[in-house]
Amino acid sequence: MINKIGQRLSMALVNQQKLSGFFEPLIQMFLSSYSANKHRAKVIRINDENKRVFTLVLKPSSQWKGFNAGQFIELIIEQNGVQMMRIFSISSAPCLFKSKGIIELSIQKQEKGRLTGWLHNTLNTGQLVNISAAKGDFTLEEGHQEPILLIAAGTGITPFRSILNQYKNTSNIHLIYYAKNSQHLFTQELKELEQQSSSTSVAFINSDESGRICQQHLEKYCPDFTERNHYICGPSEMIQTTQQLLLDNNIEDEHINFEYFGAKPISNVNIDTEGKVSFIKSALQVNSNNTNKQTLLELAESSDLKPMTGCRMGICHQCKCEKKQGVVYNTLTKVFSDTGAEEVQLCVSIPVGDVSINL
Amino acid sequence: MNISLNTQQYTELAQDLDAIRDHHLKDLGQIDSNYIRKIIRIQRSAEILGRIIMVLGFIHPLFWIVGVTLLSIAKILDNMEIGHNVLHGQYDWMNDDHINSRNYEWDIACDASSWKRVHNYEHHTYTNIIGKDRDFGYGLLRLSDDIPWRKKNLWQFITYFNLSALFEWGIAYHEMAGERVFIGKKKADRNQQISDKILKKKFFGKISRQVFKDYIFFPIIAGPMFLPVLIGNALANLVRNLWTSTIIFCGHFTEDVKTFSEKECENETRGQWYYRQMLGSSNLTGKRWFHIMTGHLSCQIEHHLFPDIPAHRYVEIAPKVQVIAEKYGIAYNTGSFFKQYYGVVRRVIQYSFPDKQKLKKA
Repeated sequence: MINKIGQRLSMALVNQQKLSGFFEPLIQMFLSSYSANKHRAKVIRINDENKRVFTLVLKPSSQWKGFNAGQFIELIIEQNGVQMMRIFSISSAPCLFKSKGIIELSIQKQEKGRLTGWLHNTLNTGQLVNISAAKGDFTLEEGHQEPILLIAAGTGITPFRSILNQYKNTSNIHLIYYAKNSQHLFTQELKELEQQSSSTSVAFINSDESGRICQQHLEKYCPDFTERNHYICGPSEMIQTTQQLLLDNNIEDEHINFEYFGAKPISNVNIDTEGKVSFIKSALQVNSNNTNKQTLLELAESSDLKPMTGCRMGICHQCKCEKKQGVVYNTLTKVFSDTGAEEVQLCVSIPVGDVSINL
Repeated sequence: MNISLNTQQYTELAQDLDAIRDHHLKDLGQIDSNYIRKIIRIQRSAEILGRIIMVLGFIHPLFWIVGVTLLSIAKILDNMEIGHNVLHGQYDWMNDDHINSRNYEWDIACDASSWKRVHNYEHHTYTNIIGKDRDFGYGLLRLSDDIPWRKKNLWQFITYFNLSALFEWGIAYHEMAGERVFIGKKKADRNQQISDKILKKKFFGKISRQVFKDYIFFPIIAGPMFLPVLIGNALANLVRNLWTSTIIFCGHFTEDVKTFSEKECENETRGQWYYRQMLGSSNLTGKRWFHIMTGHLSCQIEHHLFPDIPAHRYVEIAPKVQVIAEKYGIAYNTGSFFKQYYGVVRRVIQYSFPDKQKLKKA
């Protein structure tokens, strides 16, 4: 109620949803990176895990409300005038945040990616970045009893590092962890966890030698897997294969949880990629094909959606919509978009691979 | 007199202008975001200080005058250099919650989304096409012989003055008038995307918020200074109305600005579209502060060619466009404020009277 009155008053007096939105540019003169809608976090240090992965240690401001093991945050940082946003799972445990006030993000440097490599080179100790509140429901249920099986591949280990550290003394958790060329992250730490806690066990699998996940692996590395709750994190093919495998073993859908990791980096896509365009609000999906390339606007309209439109030539900006994820090609500026969330003009954007639009 | 170009020239014109556009779009970055943030900081400071200093008028009337001046400047900056340009999507690439065309709402009676529909779409796509661009004379003024003369045009200079003084209300009502929401016969080819109900809700919502702010809330919290603050706010709105309307009239209704017929513009190519934008606009020369206070609409030609390039770049782009105009023999209409404004006044008066050519023929 008070919120609503505050919002109406703010709209009337300063044409902003929040009064702080009006004062934001002035406050930023004294508090760098101040934001009316986001939290601030200070960079404590950067640890290199290996050549490609580094851990960013952050201390969020006191207003940040904490998180549950397995959740992610949005990291927002200005790069050449653009507010760049990326989603990262928190790889440290909530108990560490409670005791020391810090959180850790483990970030893989994407080859030719726009942001991750830059982050590693640019961020300095003491610098301020913006983060969102913790989000996501890839978490263990409150007061769960069942034993747990975690299946990770590559950097998909990050939410599980948090879960393992948080529940090492209270839950029966087994982890099967795949990595190419035995490039497992946090090997030392995970081995120590295994030694400290009788209820935690880890199987490291070199996927170059043993291949991808299969029935034999499950039976060999976790004989009682049918009696466990399952959590899967890794590349999308790995998630799909594992999910199907578990379903084939008569494990109920509700006991299978999974978390997809971001869209493909721009370097991996080209304009000829076919894909699925998802319109989130209207729960519709259409296929975009190569032979007859269509703009997002045409695709939306062909599925009987009626987004706000105007000039249909990229001038009036009325058809702008939030793209949640995926890459689009702007026919006007001839540039590929970023992979994360941002506003796109539907009438001049061609989807490149899978794209989800908030429409 | 302008001669039309041939097909080859239109293609080359489009290539030349696209090259400028591509260069600047590629170059967008920290300079632009720093610039708009700086202008926003100046605007916010001017507004806050203006509203406070105005109340100090009880100490000395000079405070009141300074306060009103600051508030007028704040409103002009908000409407012109920030609001108008942000709503064109010039800064959308910044991905900033507060500085983008979807969320920005400005300190003026006109609802931002209505403005985007009528101004960004209709006016910028169909610039100066008689019958399609309702901004040409706003349905009130006859500024070309293509529009039939009516008796009311005789006193249209007074209409023009009234429109200027009440400009923000004029543009707030502009879409409602065009869609015949309250009065008049509905047109067959109406924009069906928005119902009258939503139009009305948005219209009344925005104007009541603006009235509440300037004529109820701030006067009341000023206590004994109620009346001076009320008058001061009204004056700041009036100054902004006169300034914006004058600048906008200088951008499209100077003496030599051309108009077009719907038929001429059928199946228009990009080159022809650029050509029409150049002939349908006129520029003003002036100092840096002057350009900023006009929201760079002093570079109306460049704005119409590149409506989504950050406006502070127009000053740098203008000489290049002028060279291109010369190359193709296209008139480039520019001049000092007083020269151009004199042209506007002449045009308003000239078309108050019936077309002499037609009269003779008849």
